[in-house]
Amino acid sequence: MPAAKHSEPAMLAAGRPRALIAALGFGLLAGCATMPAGMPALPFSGAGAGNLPNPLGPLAPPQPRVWPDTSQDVLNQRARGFGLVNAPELQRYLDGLYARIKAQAGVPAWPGGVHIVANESLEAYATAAGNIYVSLPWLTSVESEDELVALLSHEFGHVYLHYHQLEGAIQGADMAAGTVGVGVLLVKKTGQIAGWNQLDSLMAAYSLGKGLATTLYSRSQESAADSFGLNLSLKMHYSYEHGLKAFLERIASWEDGNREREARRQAQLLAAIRADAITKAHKTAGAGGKAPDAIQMRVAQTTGELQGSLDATFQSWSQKLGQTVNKLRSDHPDITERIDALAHAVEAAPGAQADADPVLAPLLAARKEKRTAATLEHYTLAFRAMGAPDDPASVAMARRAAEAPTATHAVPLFALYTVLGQQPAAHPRRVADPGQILEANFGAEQDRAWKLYAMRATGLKASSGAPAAKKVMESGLAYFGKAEDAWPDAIRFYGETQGWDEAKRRAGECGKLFHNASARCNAAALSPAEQAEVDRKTKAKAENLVDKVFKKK
Amino acid sequence: MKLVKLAMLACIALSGSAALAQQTIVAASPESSATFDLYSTPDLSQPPRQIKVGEAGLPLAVQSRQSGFLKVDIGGQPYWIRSTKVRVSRTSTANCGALALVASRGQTASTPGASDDACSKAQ
Repeated sequence: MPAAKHSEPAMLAAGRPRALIAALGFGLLAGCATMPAGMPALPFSGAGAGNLPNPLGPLAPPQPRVWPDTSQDVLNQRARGFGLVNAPELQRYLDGLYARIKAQAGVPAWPGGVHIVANESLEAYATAAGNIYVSLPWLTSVESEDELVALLSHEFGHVYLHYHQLEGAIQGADMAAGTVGVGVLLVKKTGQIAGWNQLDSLMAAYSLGKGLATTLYSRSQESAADSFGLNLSLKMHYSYEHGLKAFLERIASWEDGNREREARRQAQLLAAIRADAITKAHKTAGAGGKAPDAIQMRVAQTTGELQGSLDATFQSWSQKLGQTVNKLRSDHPDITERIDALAHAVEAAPGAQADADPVLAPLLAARKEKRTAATLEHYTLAFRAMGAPDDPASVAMARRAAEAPTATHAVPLFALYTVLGQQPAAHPRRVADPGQILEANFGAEQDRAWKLYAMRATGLKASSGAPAAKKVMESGLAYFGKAEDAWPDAIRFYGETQGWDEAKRRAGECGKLFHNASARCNAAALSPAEQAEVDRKTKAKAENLVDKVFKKK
Repeated sequence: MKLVKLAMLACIALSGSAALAQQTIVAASPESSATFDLYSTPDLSQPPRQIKVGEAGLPLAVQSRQSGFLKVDIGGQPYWIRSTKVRVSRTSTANCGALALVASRGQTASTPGASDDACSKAQ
């Protein structure tokens, strides 16, 4: 990126966050008892996307490990978001590719398969159990099998290189980071008149805290996984050009698009801040029962614009703080750095540059398989319908999405439920309870998603009372009770229906069963009054911090 | 009803093929490269013409591809560029839409994955 000239506010903005982050980062790292003690000694620690090894060199032998239960891991992932997409033929194709990758790495007997995440964003990750999770849009976006193998090889790199050994330490760091992170990121909140909510602050706080403790290690993981993925895919005779390169370029374009979207959101926010300040100034000018004259209005306009500009500047500082924080805490090195690191590695290894046509036929055949094609089509329709639930055309899309073979899948059912909720007149039988649509998911074991149980129980609690809701919750827990992500929803539900003492009892049980979910379970067991008190104290702490940082007092 | 289904299928098919049609060259790769080598044919044995990256008029629409080369138009002239020497923008069917937000999966006991969770972070 070209260097830009900095105005005074921009320089201040750039300077303050840096100092603030440095101070808090130091505090976190120095004071955090759960900081992974061995982190500096770990391989690749501290490295970003620097020089990568020879892409055609031999792989280091893998470390021995104890494998977590693969099925339990799948159940955990099915309890998150909208769960997984049951598409047996497509999964068979993906598992076949994964088996070849494992064989190439010399570990054909390792456990784990490929699973499809029911989400519309570009998402992929691996777990310690050896499973790889890929969101549906990756499978409809990749242009060749080379690119798909690159993605799977990259994710398998995390497993092979045994990067999950630090999960416990990272989770610990997450919890410790909470107290510091919340304060820092709520700086943003105080700089705004409108547009920032609690969730934004909490998510940002989590991001900062986690990032400060683990960023270097995570970044080095990504670069090493790129290198590993390139190594394996080249040895499997897939090309760099159509494989790893295309894969990283697609991520780069996706991230560019999201940055643009965020910039638009911030611009709208700044405009709203200015408009709000002007409106307030006009109201002040007109206070006292008398209509303001032209001079008063002009003064008010000027005052409002000035105040709006000040507020917007403050917001802009906060935004820059956020951007700086995000850049600092990003688990992934800048995608351009990753692409460049691979380009340099390939440049130095002429054998890796061979021109080859992309491998297309098996991927296209897998997508065209009858049930797979229908499943992909239905999810596309469901995503579209969800994007415009008020549009009359969305009714037909959502109905089609919720037909076989996806008639019991969570996403199509949720899309239909949402669209018919927005357009009740489109419902053919005018059923009294449209939430019944969601229940089609509960009968099909492979398609069940915890989120739908939680939604249905919440809906029933409001419409039919606690007993009916409890029945749904309990049937959901009978299936998902061993998945930690189900517990916070359930605890909140029992708090609302059976009292907060019961919620706290269950939170204690959750903490014993799932150490990593303990904080989330305890948070879910807070009564509304307790939550309000926590919010009040957090806000006070944040305001105190902001006052100190920006010397408002 | 059949007509509606056909329209929906056409809509999906169009969005899929558009992904390939919209590729553009957005930068040199590695980004630090100062020049592009332009070939009159997709053949490495021919001597290339070299131009500065800044003079190429990025982004350049990719007109076609052939065995490791991308065909582009620079200053009204057709040229071929080695595809490994450029960064290409690529579309995806992904979206940070309403469902991505509802489906937000929060923190995970897994490695971070291939890319940032951009939908969650941007909110």
